[in-house]
Amino acid sequence: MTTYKYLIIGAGPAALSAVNAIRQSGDIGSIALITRENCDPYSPASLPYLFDDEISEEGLFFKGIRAVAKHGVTLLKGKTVTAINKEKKEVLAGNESIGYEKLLITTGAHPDVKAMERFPGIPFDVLRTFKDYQGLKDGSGIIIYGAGLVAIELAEKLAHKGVSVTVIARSRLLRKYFHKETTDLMAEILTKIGVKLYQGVDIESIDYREGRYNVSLADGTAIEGNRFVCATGVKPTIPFEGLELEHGAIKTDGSQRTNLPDVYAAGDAAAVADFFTGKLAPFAILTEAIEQGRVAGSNMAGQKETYAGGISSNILRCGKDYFFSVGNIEPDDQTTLIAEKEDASFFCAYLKNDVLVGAVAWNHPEYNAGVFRYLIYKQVKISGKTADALKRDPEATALYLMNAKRRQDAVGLITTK
Amino acid sequence: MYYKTFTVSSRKCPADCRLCTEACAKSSDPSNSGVRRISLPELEVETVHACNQCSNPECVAICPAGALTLNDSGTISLDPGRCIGCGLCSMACTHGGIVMKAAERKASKADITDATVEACPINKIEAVDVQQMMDQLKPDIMTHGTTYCPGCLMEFLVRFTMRIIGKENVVLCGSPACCILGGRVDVAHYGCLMTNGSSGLTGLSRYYRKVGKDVTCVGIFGDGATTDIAFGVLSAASERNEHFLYICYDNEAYMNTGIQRSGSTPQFGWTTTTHVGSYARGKKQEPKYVPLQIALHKTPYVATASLMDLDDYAKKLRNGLEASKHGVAFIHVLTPCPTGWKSDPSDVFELSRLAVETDYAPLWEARYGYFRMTKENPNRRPISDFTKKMGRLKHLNETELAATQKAIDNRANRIRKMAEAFPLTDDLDIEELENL
Repeated sequence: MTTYKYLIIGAGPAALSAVNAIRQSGDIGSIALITRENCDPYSPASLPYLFDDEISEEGLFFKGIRAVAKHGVTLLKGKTVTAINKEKKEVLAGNESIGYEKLLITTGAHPDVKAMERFPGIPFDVLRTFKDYQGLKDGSGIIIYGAGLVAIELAEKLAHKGVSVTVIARSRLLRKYFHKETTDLMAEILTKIGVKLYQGVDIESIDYREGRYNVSLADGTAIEGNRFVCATGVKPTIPFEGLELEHGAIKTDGSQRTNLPDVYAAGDAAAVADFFTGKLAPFAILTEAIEQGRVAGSNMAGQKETYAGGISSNILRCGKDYFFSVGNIEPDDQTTLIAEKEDASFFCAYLKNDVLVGAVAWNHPEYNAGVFRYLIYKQVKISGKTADALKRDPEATALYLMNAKRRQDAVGLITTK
Repeated sequence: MYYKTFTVSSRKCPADCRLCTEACAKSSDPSNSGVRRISLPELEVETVHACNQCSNPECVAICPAGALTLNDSGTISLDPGRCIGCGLCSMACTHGGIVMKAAERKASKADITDATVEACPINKIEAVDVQQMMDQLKPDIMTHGTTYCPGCLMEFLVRFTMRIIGKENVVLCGSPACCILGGRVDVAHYGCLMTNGSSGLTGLSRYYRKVGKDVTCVGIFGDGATTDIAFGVLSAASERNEHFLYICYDNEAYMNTGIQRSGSTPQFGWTTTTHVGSYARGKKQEPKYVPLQIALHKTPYVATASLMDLDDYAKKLRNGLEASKHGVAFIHVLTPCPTGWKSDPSDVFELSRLAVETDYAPLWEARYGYFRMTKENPNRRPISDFTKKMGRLKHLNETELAATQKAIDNRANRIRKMAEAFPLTDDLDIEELENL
């Protein structure tokens, strides 16, 4: 039986981020990635981009192949971990036992398809893995059931390619991440590029025969297509029993530790604290997966790092328009808004108690979404003159505030109390 | 090997100047959107901003297509061919180094280039290329094992100094203080006493000149010797125009013998002979500022340096070596000492940086009584940023802090005034001064 110093279940972005953190710490111990997929590591975020050739298959695997080679990682492909022996520190994959000193679970999430239980016997596609893409790539006349990022990105790419695509959104598209004004804009753009979009209506029935779908919506609309993609969200993939869960995801502390000794979790499979409320929940956001992977890898390698908590961070390109939303963009009566709006763009910063809690922008690709994230995390005070400056020039003010905060914190690098 | 970087000083840009962004716009590199100009006159901010070229880059970590790469040179490059324009990099980068280009559907980094440096009329953006320094580093002369305290910067100073100077035709002198080097260095070594370092250097250098050997005599001594008990000897050697390079590592107390106060110890500073308590509040007197005292001897070269800028220190060492052919060359280096300052061993470089940023250790050089600041410090940090970070000074009350702030400001400004009144400019006829 082989024992690895670091064994990571999964080979997605959180896993690679952990690998990088382990090597950055100077640790040259053995690392293995064990993945149930039979391919090189990749990021599921890239999958929609395959549909309109914005990325090639070579491009999809480029980073993963490079990382595995650079960091001296053993890649165990096509193996599914099903059980753990926490005393012996072994996992079971098939009938093979693999030992570990530190274990990291980055099994991610898988499509949540309970919405299809209403339509038993109807075959459908999902899009989460490379294999899913391979099954879907030559499709035409595609119906997408869902309104999240995967659904919308896939629709946009298919339309860009000239493939006929219909989106059925039960409520409003991207409801969790953007306001109605913003998603109305997106709907306009999507419609302009050729997406047939139905919002606020659910499916009544689906008829499938001889490779053809006939979908009836609750308002009587009839939709036809050749493929049906269920993109109604994801739920965490839990590899084995014995892990303490929270809302269906693996419960972690601020160092990404689980309840099992020397076992960590990061990414879509993990339940992490919300930055604002401290409540644990799954947080399927890529920036958070990367950061959690980094924190997990650092802690596994003996460095002390803490995950500050999840902040919703979303960036989307719709046609040529960029949209981003960060943090808490649901105003209440304590929220101050700093907004600027033009015909073809807008920006809004949300402040509570003179501290930035959220920001949203349309068509400001030159604004640095990540800098607003930083200001939210660091709870930089913005009031009076700086608030006025933020209104006049959000791009420059955000950069200035970020740099000023970093300078201030540089003194804090010194460890003597 | 990271050898070249660009620095952006805190000098204020002229309000209407956009020369750097214009220069970048002319560049044909689509993956580089160029430096960004930040103009916030209402906050009195006129500066530029660019990619931080992080060593653990957030953008590289998140890019799903592997379009961003951390190169061996330390810079981060973007391959537009691989970029899918997803925008995740601009969401992940908390340093504001990446923007999205809507028309191209691609990301673009805000990189400083040589064109940016050339365009800037006020030298706000500079290229710092330490390739030469790195290439010219000579072998480490320190023997295996170390008998110094954890975090000792004096040991680092000796190693680095000798890697710049080399051991060929060099005699290195030290004394039985912290810089007790006998048996620890692979270079011709002569051990002086604390009280006669400059005499030893005088004898050695005169001997070699007498027998016609071109040998450089270098001494590394602490502040106890330099400021107090061997000050007269150093002063006399400077007056006689002896030929040697003298480096003072100033840890602001007699450290090796148990942290006793020296002339360099800051006022109110705790040492084992200047206690802090109900009876006394640390050292009574303000410190002596020995580099200025030596500079007033009008010697060929005096400089202050800091280990937070090795490239600058290396340049000053070379200047000193050259000047030591004509007289006494003196370099003063504030050297944080974790043991004596009661600070964490891993903080020594940050404390060096903080000393410069608070004006506690202003960086300047002087030749023949003409002065020049070698580093500007327009955004001086309050001295409390420095004093609160070490056990020997964190007890300062409001009055003491105010007095210390005033003393530090006066000390730094005195040098600035000297530089104004007696400027060391490039057109100063050094040869004429040498022959005087």
